[in-house]
Amino acid sequence: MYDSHLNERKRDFDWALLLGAGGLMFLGGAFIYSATAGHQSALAWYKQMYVHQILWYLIGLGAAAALLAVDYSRLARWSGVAYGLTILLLVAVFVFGSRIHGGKRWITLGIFGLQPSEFAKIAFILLLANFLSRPADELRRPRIFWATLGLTLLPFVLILKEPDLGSALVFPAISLSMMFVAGVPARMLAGLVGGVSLLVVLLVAIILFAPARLDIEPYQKTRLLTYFGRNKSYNVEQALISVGSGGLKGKGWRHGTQYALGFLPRAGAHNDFIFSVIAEEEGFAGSVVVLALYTVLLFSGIKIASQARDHLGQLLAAGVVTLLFCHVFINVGMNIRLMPVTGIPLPLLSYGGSSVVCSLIAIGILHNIHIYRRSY
Amino acid sequence: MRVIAILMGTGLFVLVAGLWFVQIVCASRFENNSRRQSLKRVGMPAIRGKILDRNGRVLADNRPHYNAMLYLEELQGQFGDAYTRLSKAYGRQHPLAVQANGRVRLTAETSRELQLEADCQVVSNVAFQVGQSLQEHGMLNTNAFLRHYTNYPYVPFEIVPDLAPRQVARFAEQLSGQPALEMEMQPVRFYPNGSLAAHVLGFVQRESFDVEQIPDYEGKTGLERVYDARLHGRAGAKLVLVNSLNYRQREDIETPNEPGGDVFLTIDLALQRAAEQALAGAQSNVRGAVVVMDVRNGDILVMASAPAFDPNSYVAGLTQREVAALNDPKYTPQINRAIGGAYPPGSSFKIITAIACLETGLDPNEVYDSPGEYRASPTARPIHDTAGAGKFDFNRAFFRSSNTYFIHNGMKAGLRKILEVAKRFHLGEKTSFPIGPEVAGNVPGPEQAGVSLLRSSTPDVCIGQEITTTPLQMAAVIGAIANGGNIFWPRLASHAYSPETGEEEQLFAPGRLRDHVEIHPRDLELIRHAMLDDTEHPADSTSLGGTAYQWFHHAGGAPLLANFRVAGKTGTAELKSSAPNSPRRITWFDSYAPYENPRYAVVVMVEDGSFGGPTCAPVAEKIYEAIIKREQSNSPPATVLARN
Repeated sequence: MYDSHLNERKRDFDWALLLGAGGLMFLGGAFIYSATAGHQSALAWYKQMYVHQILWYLIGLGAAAALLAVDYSRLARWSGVAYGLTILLLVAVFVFGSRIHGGKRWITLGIFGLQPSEFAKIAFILLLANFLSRPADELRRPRIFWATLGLTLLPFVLILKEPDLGSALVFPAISLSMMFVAGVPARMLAGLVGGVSLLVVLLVAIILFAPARLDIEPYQKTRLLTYFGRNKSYNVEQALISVGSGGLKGKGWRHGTQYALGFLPRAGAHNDFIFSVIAEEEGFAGSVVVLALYTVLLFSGIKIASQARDHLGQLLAAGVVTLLFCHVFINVGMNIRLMPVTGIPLPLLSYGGSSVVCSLIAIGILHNIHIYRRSY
Repeated sequence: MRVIAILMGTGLFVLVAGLWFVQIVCASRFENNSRRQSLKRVGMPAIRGKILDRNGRVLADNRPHYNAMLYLEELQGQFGDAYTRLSKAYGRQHPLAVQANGRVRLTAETSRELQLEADCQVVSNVAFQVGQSLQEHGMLNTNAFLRHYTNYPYVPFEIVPDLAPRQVARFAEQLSGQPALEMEMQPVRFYPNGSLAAHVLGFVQRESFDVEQIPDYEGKTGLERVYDARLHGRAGAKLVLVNSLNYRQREDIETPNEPGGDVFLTIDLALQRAAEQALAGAQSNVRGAVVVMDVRNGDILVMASAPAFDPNSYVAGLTQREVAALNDPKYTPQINRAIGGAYPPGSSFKIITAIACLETGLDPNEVYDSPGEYRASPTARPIHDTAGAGKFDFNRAFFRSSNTYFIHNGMKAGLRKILEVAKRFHLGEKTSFPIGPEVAGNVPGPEQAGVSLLRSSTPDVCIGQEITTTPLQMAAVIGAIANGGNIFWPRLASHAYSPETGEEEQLFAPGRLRDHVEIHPRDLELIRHAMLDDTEHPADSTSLGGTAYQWFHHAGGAPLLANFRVAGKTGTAELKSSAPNSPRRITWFDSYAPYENPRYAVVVMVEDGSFGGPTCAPVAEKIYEAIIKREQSNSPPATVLARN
């Protein structure tokens, strides 16, 4: 069909990638049902959350399928526009945003809320991939380095101000990973990592020893203190109890008591704390299955990155993989007190339209790169 | 790319390791936590049923009782703040515990102590504030609080019990905004008539606080105890969801409570009150009992015992002085003397002796010339006779209560015969009265004549000494004389209403016959007539009048009770007990009325009265006045219940 050898579109699927995504969507539907059915059973079926979630899966799959029709290099050309739009949306959050759980993160659009930070992550990956896919000698220039840093800091600061520390921290991580893959000199990256580490150490020191002097939101302070074991946070304690009480085999699907009895917050169990519901009901075995599915997803992403046709594809895949990994690591880590509590969703499992659609778009991009991979 | 893969792989491995640690290594700890924060049941007492008299007037009721309750889980934030303050203060006092970074190092034990102290401080401050608002100056009982707090932190703590109406208003005005404070209404047992019929009703007390329950009341004595299950209703239960910190998270009603059923008595409130007042007027600090029974069916209309107690004081909690008064060895207010005290019947026992004599061939017309005292032998101690010396036929000997006549003839009938007649009337046997404790008294059976009761006691037994009965047993004897020989099981509680169905349920069938005593109609007539003469035979030229005559007649000879003839027998027994608190003398007046159509048996017993006539007969007379008033008022006199 295509005469260009380089642009040849492979008519195959990356089955591993699809298996990982499909399995996670199946678990997401099942455990959102388990977590919410108890107190929503009185509602009509179309008002129940798991039905909404399935709807979001379908919308996300549609969006991902639509993306497959266009070569990712063409998508990348629009990355500047996408980035600009999401920055505008992030600014708009401050103006029109709804305040939920102490943060202005949503723009309410009629029946559903839009979380611009999720879309900003995708747009950011596209833009950065486009920006960094240039010859190695250009990447050595400090100007490029500082520009990348600037592009990272803009959404980072906006999202930090929402405030949503968890999502904001994803940006520097993606940036770092993509710069590394792009071939920005290790010297510069080491300097960056060193500088950031120093800042983080200072911040932690202030939090631990002089929390009063710190100018961060009270809820963030509490969450950070909780992470460092200085504060008994109810949610973390309960999430930990949920995960821990699951044991090896768990209590069985829909037999978890933590959520049913109202210990896990009603507002959070089906999104940020969905992992603790799975871990309680399916035990260590279930947790490992979830992590295995993510591993499949992430390593097919890495395979796709290494098989990518060009630098752009590789960078895009690396960005997406880093994004997904950050979400998984922070969210699961938070459930077992490895990470501080930051409202960050678990890709494809947590309830939420923006998160589900963006995760599926990200996977769509990965698959796009897979289809247009080099064939030699 | 490889570096990224390695980093990611490491990250995922860290997560799996972390999960393994939490879910496998520490699983049991978290499982315990998960189980600990679970559901606890907390009882919700039901509203107790009422106790009502035969006309539906309330004897035991409930009144609302407002408590200021403290919801401890709402104070968690304040507990934390106080703890921070205290640990800082601890650091200032113990500079060695302060680390270089300014943190205070506490041992787990110190930390626990400080935590508890902080919690106490917070609660104490709240209690002080509540005290100020309510103008209640009692301090927080720290021990009670700690006991509550360590055992039941998920149950609200009663910070000020039983608010006065003014305090209720103040609470609503000044304290209702605080989430930790709430006013809670609890029904509390209330006896509107104070000590009236206290022994019959009994009292309730708070169940000991050993269960995870909001304090409930339990009937301890009297009818409150007998019908506790019925009055109590069914306590409901709340399921309280308790979290891992042991505070209340949420509560649901599992089973709603069901109010208790109402119990109706045979007691007549107005008569009971009149009888208690009459008994109290017998003498100062009176100790005694009154039983009024419907002779047609055994319904107990009055059961009074003096001194009594106020059951309300048990509900509120007794003071030390009240406890001391209740345990006074002489006055023993907790004993129901109508059933719980055994007394020698004295001359009122002559009814039994008379039947024994008449059945063994005594000619009632035969005149006995009394020497005025009885001696078993010329050297023996004489038994005095207030009737004095003179000529006595049966009738005169009875209404003058001649000891010598009845000893003389009773000796002829024999101890065995007298005891046999006494047993026929079930003297010395318990009546299966629903409330207790009931004593049997001591009237040996005929087979015991000359065995446990020596024949040398016969003269004493003839005049009601050396044996003991209860006022209720005597009421049954009088009832049988009045109704022609029927002895009923005494009935105290008639029916109840089930709160669920609203249906009436019989508790005790009316007029349950215990026994029919065979007495020759001639003998019965002789005794009834002699009893009538006890109140009606005036003094004449040859003799003094009936022993109770003057207490039923004006000085001019007109009867006190118009068209209402009372038949009775006085009694005065001497006790030879050497116990310091034992009474020396028991006085009685046992009677029934109206003579022609007997309906009521009235038995009055007073410890350490002067004589049966002057001490007890006036009490009975006043009770009959109340009975007449009751019959004249529109309430029909128990005829409804007299179906048998």
